[in-house]
Amino acid sequence: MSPLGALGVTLGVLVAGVVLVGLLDALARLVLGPVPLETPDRLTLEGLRGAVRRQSLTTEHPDLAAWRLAPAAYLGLAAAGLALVPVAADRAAVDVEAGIVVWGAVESLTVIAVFLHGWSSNSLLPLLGAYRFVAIGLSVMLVSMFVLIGAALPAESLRLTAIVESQRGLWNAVRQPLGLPLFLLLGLAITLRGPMDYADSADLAGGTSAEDSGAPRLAWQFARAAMLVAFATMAATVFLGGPLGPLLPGPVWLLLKAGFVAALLVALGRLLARPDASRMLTFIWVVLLPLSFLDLAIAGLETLR
Amino acid sequence: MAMRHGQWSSHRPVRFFAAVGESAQSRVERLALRTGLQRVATPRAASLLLIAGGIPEQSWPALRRLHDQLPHPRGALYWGEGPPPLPDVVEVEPSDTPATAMRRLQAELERDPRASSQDLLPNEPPAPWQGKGPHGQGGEGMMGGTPYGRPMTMRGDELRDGLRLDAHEVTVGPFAPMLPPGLALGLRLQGDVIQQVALIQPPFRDAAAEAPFAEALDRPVAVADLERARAAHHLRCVGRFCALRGALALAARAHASAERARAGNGAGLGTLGRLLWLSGLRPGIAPGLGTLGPAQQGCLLGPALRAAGRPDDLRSRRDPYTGAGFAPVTQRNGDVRARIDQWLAEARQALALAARLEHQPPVAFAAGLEGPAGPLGTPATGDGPRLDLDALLRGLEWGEAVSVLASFSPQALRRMLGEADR
Amino acid sequence: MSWADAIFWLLAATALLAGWRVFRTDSMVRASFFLLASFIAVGAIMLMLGAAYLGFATIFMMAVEMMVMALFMVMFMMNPAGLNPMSMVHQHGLAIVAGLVTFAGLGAFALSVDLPSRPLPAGAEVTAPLGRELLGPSMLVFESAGVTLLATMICAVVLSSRSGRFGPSDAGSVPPSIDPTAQEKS
Repeated sequence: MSPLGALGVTLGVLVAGVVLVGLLDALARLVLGPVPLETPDRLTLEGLRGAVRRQSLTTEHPDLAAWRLAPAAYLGLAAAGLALVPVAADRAAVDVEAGIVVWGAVESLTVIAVFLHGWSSNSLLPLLGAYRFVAIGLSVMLVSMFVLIGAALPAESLRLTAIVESQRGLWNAVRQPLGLPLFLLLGLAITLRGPMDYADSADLAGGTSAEDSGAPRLAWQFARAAMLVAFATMAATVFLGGPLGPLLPGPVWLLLKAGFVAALLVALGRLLARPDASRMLTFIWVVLLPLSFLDLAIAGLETLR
Repeated sequence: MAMRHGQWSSHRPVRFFAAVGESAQSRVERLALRTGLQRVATPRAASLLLIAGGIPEQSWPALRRLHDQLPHPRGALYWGEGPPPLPDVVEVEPSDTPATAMRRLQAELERDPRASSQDLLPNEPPAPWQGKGPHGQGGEGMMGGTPYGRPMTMRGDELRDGLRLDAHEVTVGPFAPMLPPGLALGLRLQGDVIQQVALIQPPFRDAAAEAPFAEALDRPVAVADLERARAAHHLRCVGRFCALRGALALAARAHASAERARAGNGAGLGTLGRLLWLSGLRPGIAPGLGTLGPAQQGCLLGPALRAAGRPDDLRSRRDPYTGAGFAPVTQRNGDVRARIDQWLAEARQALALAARLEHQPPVAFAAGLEGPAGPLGTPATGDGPRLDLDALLRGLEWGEAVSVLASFSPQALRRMLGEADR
Repeated sequence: MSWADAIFWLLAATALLAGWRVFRTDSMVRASFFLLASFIAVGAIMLMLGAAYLGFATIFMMAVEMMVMALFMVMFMMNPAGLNPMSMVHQHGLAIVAGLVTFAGLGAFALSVDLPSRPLPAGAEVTAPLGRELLGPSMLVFESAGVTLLATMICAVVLSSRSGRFGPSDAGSVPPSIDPTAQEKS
């Protein structure tokens, strides 16, 4: 695929995915009930026009370059993550030999984007959100890397197309039962949802987005939804077999599986509560990290057989 | 049908920030659940400022600062009694709902953005840049001073492990959405750990929460109605707590249960208790968080007192209740978990009592009764200790402190901080 | 000049410029992220050299490390946002001389030595041979480095843990006084 074509397809899928995420959020709100005070903004079509016309305020002496760069970086990372995913059994927009490592780089740079977003507005509540998130985000990122290495073991390759190919017999979600639940926790963290939303939470009056207004605010909310799209497709590829499946063409299967993961994350984001930051940190290091080692051991034993 | 249309059409919800004043929290929450309106947590995301309830004059400067934080085009509405605290606001009668006024104002702002409400305060830094110091910022070398008008935080001793970190002093104002309405605290923070707390202003009084009970002191009122109001109040407090901790589905369920309880339908409270475990809300709170020391136990009131293990409840000495076999519910630890459990247990008990006392003739409680935030109508029992927020919140992280404050109902917190309303 | 050359010069210039900005900016957090930008440019150059795993791993690891550094800047430095003017250079004279000498030395090395030119065949597998090298001939180096890092981390955790040597650290863990008659109950 030509580079420009790949870029076009990726951005197109991203925008369509964001629309789908907005619909899923609205559906979740309908099914699970409205709440009098909710921090993430609702993405609506009218909201798009209104946000662009609204004034974008700045605070006193912010780091303006970093503040405007953060949503752009977040969106760029979502696009990069999405570009890695194979849409058919052996084709991806960007097929890198070390695809899993690129996704790891996307995760760690996302943590930086969220930190910059919170720190650069020179305001207390966003800063608290930013560095609370860094502590949790870096820890859960470690968990996710071990889980991804476990998924790469049966494929004997870090390439995403090879990982998809290795799931022809059995999906990784079945072969390594701990993998997908642990990876979903990372998804909640990098899309700032639910139990891992330490950055933009209600007890910080919106956290890192507390000082955003106008078009930059919309850009951040859009980038959050875009990251959910990228994560859902990545999870579907690594654990649910991606484009593999009978009868329907590859891209349709990928869409269905990614839609399932996205719906799951949207639901979990509303259903689960956020523990205290120090309790969550202890839980990640004492419980989840050993579980990810166990998952890696299971994957390794199975590959050796 | 109308609700579904509102959700799926391209109709943009009107985003408003609520500055909650006296006796207005529950009606703002009910307003926020309507389709077409979205209450946001930060004024930067809002296009309308809704000033609900009366605002005492000492909070007017904070309200002016809040008003100027909304981005243009913006509008302001006043939904309360008495003279409006800001100039140029759309006034709505307290008995009306402001929903149509808000939509009309929003449409007007979209048509003509120049109709936006003007700034009330000058847009200048609070202190001059040019001062003493080698770089004009008024500090010593690269440290300290007031660069760009903001005092630079300097290092101070840290509580927990002896490191010297920057200590930041900040006022968290009377209209903070995560604190009880009206509560203003002066905090010294290192990171997000609270080093020192000074109470600047207690929460605003919430007469609406206790209105049926205050009425029962003078006039005969149906006891079943009182108990239903009590259950609704407790469930709303649980809902607010859950929303602050991100358990949105649970909060929605609690608020819906509160509305049903007001109408007399008590279904679904058993599952609410179980969902507190399943959603990870209860396990996510550290056990022992928010307990008061033995010296401070005497200042507790109402459900918080019973959550600490003391079975003090005026209802065990009042006639229709003793006839129905009332026994106070208590918990053991007096921490945040216990207070949430206490709210749920008392709500369940109140609805059971309401069912049992449905056909009881109306009674007046001239000698005082147990309100949802503690005893009402009894003479003040001398100088009990006041709640010491510094002892309660010192050393807690921000999220934990917000949870501890949300585990008291705002009116109970106000009483415990020493404000006598009657 | 082909596209590859142009991109290489651009990345090299970015790395140098970002590296220079690390020392000239007032904001400590910006300094950490300028250093990250410099590392990302170097990682991208490694990608151009065909080392996919190493390039992306460099970007990944440096992102995490610079994030932690920025966090520590905010915690411990006096002026993390650069609101006050800042001068972070010490021993100006010695620094300038050392920098010029190092530049001259490395430049002479780069220009005078005959660097090998062994282009890889297109589409060659790089990751698997790298893995075999790490776990084969170079195993001693990497495993001892790994164990050293692990020991360092364990020591850091022990030093910062709550249970101090003389009692819980948040209850004021203090060693007993040397003079036995001056013992005070804490």
